[in-house]
Amino acid sequence: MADEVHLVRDILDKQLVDRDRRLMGKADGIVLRMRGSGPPEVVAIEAGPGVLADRLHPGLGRRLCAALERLGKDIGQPLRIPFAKILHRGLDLQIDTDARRTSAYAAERWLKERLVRRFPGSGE
Amino acid sequence: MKGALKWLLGIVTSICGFIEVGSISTSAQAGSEFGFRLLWAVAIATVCLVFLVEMSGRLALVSGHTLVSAVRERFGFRFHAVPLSAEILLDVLVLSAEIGGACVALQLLTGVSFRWFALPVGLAVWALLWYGTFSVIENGVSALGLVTLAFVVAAWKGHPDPAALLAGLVPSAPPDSGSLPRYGFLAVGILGATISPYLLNFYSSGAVEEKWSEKDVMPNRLVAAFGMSFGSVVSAGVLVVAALVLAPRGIHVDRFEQAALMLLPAFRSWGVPLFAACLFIGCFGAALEIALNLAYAMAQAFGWNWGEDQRPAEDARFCVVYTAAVLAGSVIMTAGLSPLKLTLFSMALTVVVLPLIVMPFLVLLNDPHYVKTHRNGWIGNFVVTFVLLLGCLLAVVVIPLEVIGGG
Repeated sequence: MADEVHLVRDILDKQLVDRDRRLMGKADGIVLRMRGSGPPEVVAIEAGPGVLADRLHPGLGRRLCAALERLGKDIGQPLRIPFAKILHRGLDLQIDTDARRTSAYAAERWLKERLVRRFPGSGE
Repeated sequence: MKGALKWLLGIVTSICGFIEVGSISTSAQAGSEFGFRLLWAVAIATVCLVFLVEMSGRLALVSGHTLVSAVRERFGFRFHAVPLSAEILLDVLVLSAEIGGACVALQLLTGVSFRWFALPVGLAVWALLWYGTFSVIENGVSALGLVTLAFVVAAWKGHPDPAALLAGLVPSAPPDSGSLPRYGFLAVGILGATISPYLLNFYSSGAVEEKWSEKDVMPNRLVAAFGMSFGSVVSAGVLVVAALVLAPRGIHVDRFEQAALMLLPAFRSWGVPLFAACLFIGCFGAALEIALNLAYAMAQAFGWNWGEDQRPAEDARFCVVYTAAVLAGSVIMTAGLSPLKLTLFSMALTVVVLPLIVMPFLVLLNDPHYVKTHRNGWIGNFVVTFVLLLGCLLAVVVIPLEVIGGG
């Protein structure tokens, strides 16, 4: 029983970090796949404002995603991380990826390009 | 030696983070209207604050997770959305009040209406955040903030009666029952100004920024205890000076201009400029901290990369949040809202929000996943429960008090 995972307690809302411990959002949602009459299969973790907004009110997420997608396709899209990619599970969930190459940094990149680097002293 | 210096600096920083628009205005009003009678409110609030600050530091240095981050992870987003929204709203209001306080200080010095200073002061706050680092902000503010010790000097020079001071530390009824709502409103205001929610998350974020670790448990305890206690001595100094100088002359603090008179007997012609300097530095420092805290809270709630020591291009979302916050705070002040009224309203609102902010302490600081063996003792849990119950009780009475006693 040592490896028993409680999805809500141990996964949902935990901080996600990449291979190099870069912060890459929180586990905003968990995706299960129903398999006929068998037990559901845990497929992935989802992260993104739309996923989070859906938890407050169904429908809110869809509208938020649509609005964000106008800024950039990958800003609105939730990031889906297969369960198999979890390297380490503790207070944080370490994911086997490079955060900067994922959509977790899409909004960060957008703000940096469109806004932040236009101000002097931004470090760019 | 370097370690000792670091902790000494931590204590000085805490003193100076303490005096800001809320504590100056609530203490000045309390002293001018009720003499030393409300000193107990400063004392009780300080004890509660020392415990809560120590806990938010301990949580951060043992777990590496700040208060906001841990609340989201442990309680889930459905719960966290409520205290998070409350804290964001409150922080924007208090940020605006702090910018207002700094502008009023400039008005005292120049005679030009505070509204004209709102945007320049906002710009200065933003520029320091944009170009500065965490230690520049912390240490710069604390070094300048030592000027607020002027209130303690003035209180000392006024020779207050020690017996009367001690009597003020014991809660007592106001002189006549008609003034009870006002007395209650000011007591609540002092609690709200002292136990500032932003201070708690700011402190735990600072612990992460400065890479404190488990070996810093004891120094954290000392910084929290001494820093907050010394800070409250300055706050009590304001109350005592107001009681000694303003109360006998029948001056009630309806505007900051009246409060500015309190340093005249002790410092003569330097009194008003010195008051303005204290108000400006205190409010400016607090504005920096609150704007940063808003960015910390958003980044930590949503798991973004954050850190004041990174260049803005490295944490764009974090910087955009504090930029928007400072802009909002400045615009509200440009509209000409009374900074004093906004402050008193925000302090009362803080007390309403307090139970939501404090409740998670009971769980997080007893959870070995977060604090390992450094769990709360019974005294710590008692204090949190006390603040929680007091907060709930006050939250129910604060709205009637706001209506009857706030004006």
